[in-house]
Amino acid sequence: MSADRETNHDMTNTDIALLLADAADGVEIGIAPTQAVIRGGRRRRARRWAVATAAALAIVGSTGTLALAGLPGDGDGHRGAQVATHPPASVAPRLSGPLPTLLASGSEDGKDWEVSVDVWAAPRNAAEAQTQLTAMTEAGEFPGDVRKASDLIGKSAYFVHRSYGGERSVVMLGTLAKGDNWAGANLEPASARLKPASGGPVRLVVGRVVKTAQEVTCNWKDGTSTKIHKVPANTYVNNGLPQGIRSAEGSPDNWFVCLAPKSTGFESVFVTK
Amino acid sequence: MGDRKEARDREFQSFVTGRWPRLLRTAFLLTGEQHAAEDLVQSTLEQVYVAWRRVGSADDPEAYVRRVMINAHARKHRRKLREFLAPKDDSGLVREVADTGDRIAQADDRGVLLTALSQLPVRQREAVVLRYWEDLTETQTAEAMGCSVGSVKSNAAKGIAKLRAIPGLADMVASGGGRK
Repeated sequence: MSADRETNHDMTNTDIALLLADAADGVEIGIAPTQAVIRGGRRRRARRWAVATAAALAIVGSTGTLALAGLPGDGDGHRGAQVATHPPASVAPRLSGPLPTLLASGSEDGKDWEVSVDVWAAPRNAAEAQTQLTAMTEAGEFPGDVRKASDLIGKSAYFVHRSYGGERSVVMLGTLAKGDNWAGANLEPASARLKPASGGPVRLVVGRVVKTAQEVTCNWKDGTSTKIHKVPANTYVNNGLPQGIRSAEGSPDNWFVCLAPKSTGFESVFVTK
Repeated sequence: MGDRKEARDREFQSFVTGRWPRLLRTAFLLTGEQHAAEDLVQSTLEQVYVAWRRVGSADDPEAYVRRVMINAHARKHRRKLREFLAPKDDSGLVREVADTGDRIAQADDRGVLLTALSQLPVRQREAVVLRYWEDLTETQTAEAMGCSVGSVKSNAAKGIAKLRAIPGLADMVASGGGRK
């Protein structure tokens, strides 16, 4: 017991630490599920290998069905996703919640900001669609182009969130049906203010981009530009996740985030490599 | 080659076995619920397994594990899948199994703290748990949370201030509750 507590009843940091330690003792410590962890880890690694292999094959220049099977964005985004990232068809898709991925984060004017994407798997039938719609409603993520649960069948959905100083809002959302393609485009951008309702320039650029894109160039109103490149997941620099092109869990496409300098705003964005 | 892989797996198993209790306690404070804590730690360790070749040989594998766990926790929070405390009764306090008077009192104390923690914004909760339960420095906490030291200071201070303002917790301290 701390001396502070002896003399007054205000909580000291030591009191807090002791209360936390006591509360932590409330959890039941069972046997560590090492085998389950290793099995789960192997599954994750296998999925990563599948994605990397498929992308590498497509980049090498394979055409037709090979590219379509392995590389979303070259004509059949979802088929690629099924091959690369989804479990076999006999395994039910995860419907209870989205797969979230942090796309970029940083700090500005003393406020932390971040951009993340939630990807919901495609339900296969009406029952799964109903389950997922319920989960989406509970999560506050409702696709704009869905009127009834069955509209979700065969569609994955994504929601891009911007968070600034703890205030979080959706800046981009959509669904992707199996067979959707890029129709000649190679990226789908959205732009927003970093600071919600600030009235300042629109500086934040977010979007999905074909897996083959190696470089995206964001052009700003003052004539300058920012080039971003593919970066591995979880690469932190100076305690922030830097802007770049990243994969997202469950998504057939890659995603990018660009932030304009404070003095300017968004003009245009292109895949440049 | 195969021997090396097996050795790595053994090393990882040993790591998991050794760290499981501590990680589970931290996850319990972050999530407020047994099963959510187990899910969080298991998911974290699965990710660690994927990178174990690199992580296992790093100077401080614990730092990586903490980072992964905090990221996973933050992502879960972002999903707005409500974290929930253990099944609540009408009073809003956590219900726990109690078989003696002391245990009931202890469970109530824990329930008050877990409820108080659950009311903190997620970053404040993470900062408080890492600083005051994990006993990390501000720099280590910043690394785990992927933010600046200033942000850690701010979040921890706000979190602590909010906890101090909760009458139930102050009463526990006043009555010598908490650590038995």
